[in-house]
Amino acid sequence: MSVVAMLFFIVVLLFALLAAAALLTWVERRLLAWWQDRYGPNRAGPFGILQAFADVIKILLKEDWIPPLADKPVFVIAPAIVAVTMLLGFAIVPLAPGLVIADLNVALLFFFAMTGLSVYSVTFAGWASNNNYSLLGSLRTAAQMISYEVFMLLSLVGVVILAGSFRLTDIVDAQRGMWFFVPQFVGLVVFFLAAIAETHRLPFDLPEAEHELVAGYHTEYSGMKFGLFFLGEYLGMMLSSAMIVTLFFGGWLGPPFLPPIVWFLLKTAFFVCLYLLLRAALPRPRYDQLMGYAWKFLLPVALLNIVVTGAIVVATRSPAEVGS
Amino acid sequence: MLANYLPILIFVIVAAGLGVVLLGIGFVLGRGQKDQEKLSAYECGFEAFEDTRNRFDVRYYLVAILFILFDLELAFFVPWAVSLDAVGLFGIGAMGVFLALLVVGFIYEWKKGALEWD
Amino acid sequence: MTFTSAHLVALLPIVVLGGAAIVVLLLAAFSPSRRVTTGATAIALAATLATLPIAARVIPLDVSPLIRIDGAALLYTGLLVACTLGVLGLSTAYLKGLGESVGELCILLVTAALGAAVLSASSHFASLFLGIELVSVSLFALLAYARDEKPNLEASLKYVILSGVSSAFLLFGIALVYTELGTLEFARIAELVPLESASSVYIAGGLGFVIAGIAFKMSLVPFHLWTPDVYQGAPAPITAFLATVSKGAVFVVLLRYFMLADAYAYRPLIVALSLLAGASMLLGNVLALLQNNVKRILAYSSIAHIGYLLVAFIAGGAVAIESASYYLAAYLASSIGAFGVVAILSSGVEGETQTLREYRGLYWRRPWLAAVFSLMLLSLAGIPLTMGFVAKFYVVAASIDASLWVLLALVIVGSGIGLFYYLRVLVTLYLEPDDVTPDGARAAAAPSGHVVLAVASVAVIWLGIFPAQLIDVVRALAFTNG
Repeated sequence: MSVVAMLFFIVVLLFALLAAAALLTWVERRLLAWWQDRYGPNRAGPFGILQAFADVIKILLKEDWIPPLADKPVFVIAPAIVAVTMLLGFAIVPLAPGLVIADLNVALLFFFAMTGLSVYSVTFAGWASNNNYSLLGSLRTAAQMISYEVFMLLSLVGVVILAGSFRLTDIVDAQRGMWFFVPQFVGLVVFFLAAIAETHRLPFDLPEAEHELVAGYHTEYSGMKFGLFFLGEYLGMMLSSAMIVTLFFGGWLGPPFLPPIVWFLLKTAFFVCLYLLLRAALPRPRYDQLMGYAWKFLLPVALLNIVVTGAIVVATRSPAEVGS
Repeated sequence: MLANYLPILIFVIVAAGLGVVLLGIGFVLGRGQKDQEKLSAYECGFEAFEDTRNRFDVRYYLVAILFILFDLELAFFVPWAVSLDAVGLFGIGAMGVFLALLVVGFIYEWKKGALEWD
Repeated sequence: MTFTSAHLVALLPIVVLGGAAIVVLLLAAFSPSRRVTTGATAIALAATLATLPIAARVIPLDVSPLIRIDGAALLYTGLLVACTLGVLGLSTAYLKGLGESVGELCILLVTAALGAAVLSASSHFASLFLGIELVSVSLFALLAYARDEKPNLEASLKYVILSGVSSAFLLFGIALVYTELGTLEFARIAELVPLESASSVYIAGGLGFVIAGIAFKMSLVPFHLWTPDVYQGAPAPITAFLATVSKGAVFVVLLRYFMLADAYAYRPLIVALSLLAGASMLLGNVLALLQNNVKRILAYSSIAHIGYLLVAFIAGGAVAIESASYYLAAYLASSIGAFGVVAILSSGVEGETQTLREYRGLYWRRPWLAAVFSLMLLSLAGIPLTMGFVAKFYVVAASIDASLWVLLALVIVGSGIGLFYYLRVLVTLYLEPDDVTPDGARAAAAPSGHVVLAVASVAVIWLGIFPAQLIDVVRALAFTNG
C-alpha cells in the first residue's frame, strides 16, 4: 500500500470507528429496552437512530469544565489517552485478508501494550481530579485492570502455542481447519471475562459503581472530556470483540457466500451484542468477589490451560518436529 | 522490518490528532458560566470532608506487586509459547519447573491472605 | 553443554538449599507450629552441610559457565551455611521473647543462605550479581522483621536504599567491563585485564565501580557509613547474619576472582584494595573507641576485621588463601558468638540490650553469658588460646612474607587500639552491678540460643588451641583447583 492509500484507509477506519461507537450507544439503549420490554429512544428519526447524533451534539455543547483544584494538564490528557489507545488497538486487527493497517509480527503484544497504556488514563484521571470519589474509583479500576490484564495475556498463550506466531493474520490462517474456540475453550472463557473487566463494562463496572462512588474516576469530568471516556469504553468493547473473533472464531473465515469482511463484522457485532446482553442480564458482584475471582480462580485456570495445551501439542506433533 | 511500523506511526499521529481535535471542539463549544459552588470538588453536596492527597489502602500496592510478578512471568511464557516447537520436551520440562516454583509462591501468598479483600 | 549426573552431584548443596526454600515456604504457609517450621529449616540446613562431602567427590567441576564447584566453594558454603544455622538458633531464641511469627524468618534465612552458596561457587558476574541480590533482598525483609519496632524499619530502609545504590554501581561496573572485554567470566576477565588495562578507561572505571559495590556489601571504609546504624537498628540475630554471612559471602567472591587467575598482576586493583583495607583498619578501630553502644562497637570492630582479612588476602602467594580462610572462619565463629550474647540478652526487651551500661556487672547476673562474651571479645582482640590469635598471627605472617610493611604497621596499630575497646567492654562485664537492673537480666531463656553459643565457644577454643585441624581441611580443599 502506498502512503496515501494507507492514510486514506486509516482515516476511513477511524471515522468508521467513531461512527460505530456513536451508533452503539443507540444500539445499546434500544436492545436494553427490548430485553426489558420498554421502548428506548424512538423519537429522533427512524427507530430513534438520530438519537445517537443528537447525543454527540449535546455532549459537544456541554460546558467544558476543569475543577480549580485539579492537576490541569494531566486532567485534560487523561481522557484522550484511553480514546487514542483504544483506537490504536485497531491498527493490528485484520478485517479481511490484506485489509489490515499494520500486519506486525508482534501484533498480540502490541494489543496488550495498548490495553496496558489505557490503565494510565484511569489512574491519571482519578489522581488529577482531586476528588475522593475519583481517587477511590481510579484505584479500584487500576487494580482491577492490572489484575485482569495478567489473565488476559495468560489465556492467549494457548492460542499462541497452537498458532506458533503472534501475527494475527497467521493466527487466523491457523484456524482454517478448526476455529480455536474448540481446543481453547477455557482460554476463550478466561479471555472474555478478562476483556469485560478490562473495559470495565457491566457486570464488572465496579469502578463506576454509581451507588457508592458517584461515577468513579470520571466524577469530575464533563462535556467532551467525559465523552472521550465514553468513547474509549465503547471502542474497548468493539476492540475486544474483534480480538475474540480474530483469536478464537476464525476472524474473517466463513462460508464463501459472503465476503470475508462481512463475516468478520457479523461475528464482531455478535460479540458486541453479547456484551450488551450481559449488561441486561447480570447483577454486579462485590469488589472483593471480583478480585478474589480473578486471582483465585482465573489465574489457576489459565495456568492449567497453558500446561495442558503445551503438553498436548508437544505430545501430538510428530517426534521429528519435537526437540530437534 | 521497521517499515512495518510506518503505518503504526501514521496511525498514532492521526489518532492523537483526532483526540486533540475532539478535546478542542469541546473546549470551543462548551462555554459556560462559572460560580463558586460549581468550582468546588463534588462530594454529594457536602463541603469536602478531607483532602484527597491522602493515604490509601496498602492492598493496592500489593495488587501492583502481584501484577509485576505475574507480568514478568508472562515475559517468560510468551517467547516460550511461540517457540514451543523448537524447544520441545525439554522446554515443557523447564517450564514445568518454573511454573512449579511460581505456583508454590502463589499458594504461599494465598494462604497468607494476600488475596483477601476484607 | 551436556548435563551429567556428576554435575547434579556437584550442585547438590545448592539444589538442597533451593528445595529447602520451597519446603519451608509451604510449611510457613500451612503449618502453624513454630517448632515444625524451625525444625525443618534446621534439618534442611544440616542436610546441606551433609551433602558437602558427597559433592566433594566430583570436584573440581564447572557446572555451566556460571558456577564452579571446587574445594573452596564447598568449604565456604559449609562455613556460611553453618553460620546461617547459628543465626537460625539465635533468631528462634530472640523471637520467642518478641511474639512474632517465625515462618518468614526461616524462608528468608534459607534464601539468603542460597545466595551465599551461589556466591561461594560463583565464577561469573551474572551469578555474582544473582547471589548478591538473593542475600540483599532477603536481608531487606529480615532487617525489618519486628515490624512494630521503629529502629528495625529505619535500619531496613537505610539498607534498602544504600544497597540499591551499591547494586547499581556494581551493575554499571560490570557493564563497563563487558563493553571492553565482551565476557563476564572471571577467569577470562582476570586473564584479559592486565593485557588491556594500560589503554582502557572502561576497565579501570568498571573495576572501580565493581570494587565500590563490593566494598559497600563488605562495609569497607569509606563505604561503611550505613554499617553502625543498620547494625544498631536491626534485630540482634539479623545483625549477626549481616556481620557474618552477608560479608563473608562477598569476600569469598573476591577471593575466588583472584584464585581463578593471577589477578595480582593488575596493580591498580591491588592498590585500591590496600587503600580500602588500610582505611578500614584505622577508621574502624578509632571510631569503635568512641562508642558506648555494644552493637555499634561490634559494628566498627567488624569493619576493622574485614580490613585485616583483606590484608591476608592482598599478601598473595601460597599462604594467602590459607590465612584468609582461617581468618574468615575465626571471624565468623567469634562474631556469631558475640552477637549471639547480645541477641539472647535482647530477646523480648524493648529497644534491645545495647548500651554499655546495661552490660555492667553482667557476670554477677548471667555468669555463663558473660563468660561466652568475654571469650568472643578476647578472640576478636586476638588473645592467645583463641581462634582470633592464630588468625591474627597468620595475617602478620602473610604480610611479612609479602613485605607489606605499611599494612603490617596498620594491623599492629589497629590491634592495639582494638585491645583497648574490647577490654573496656570486658571490664564492664565484671564490675560491681549498680542498683539499676537492666531489662536484659530478665530476658527469656532460650535453649537453642545457648546451644549456638556453646558450639561457637567450643570452636573458638578448640581450633584456637589446635589450629592444624582446620588448616588441614583448608589446605585439602582450597588447593584442589588444579
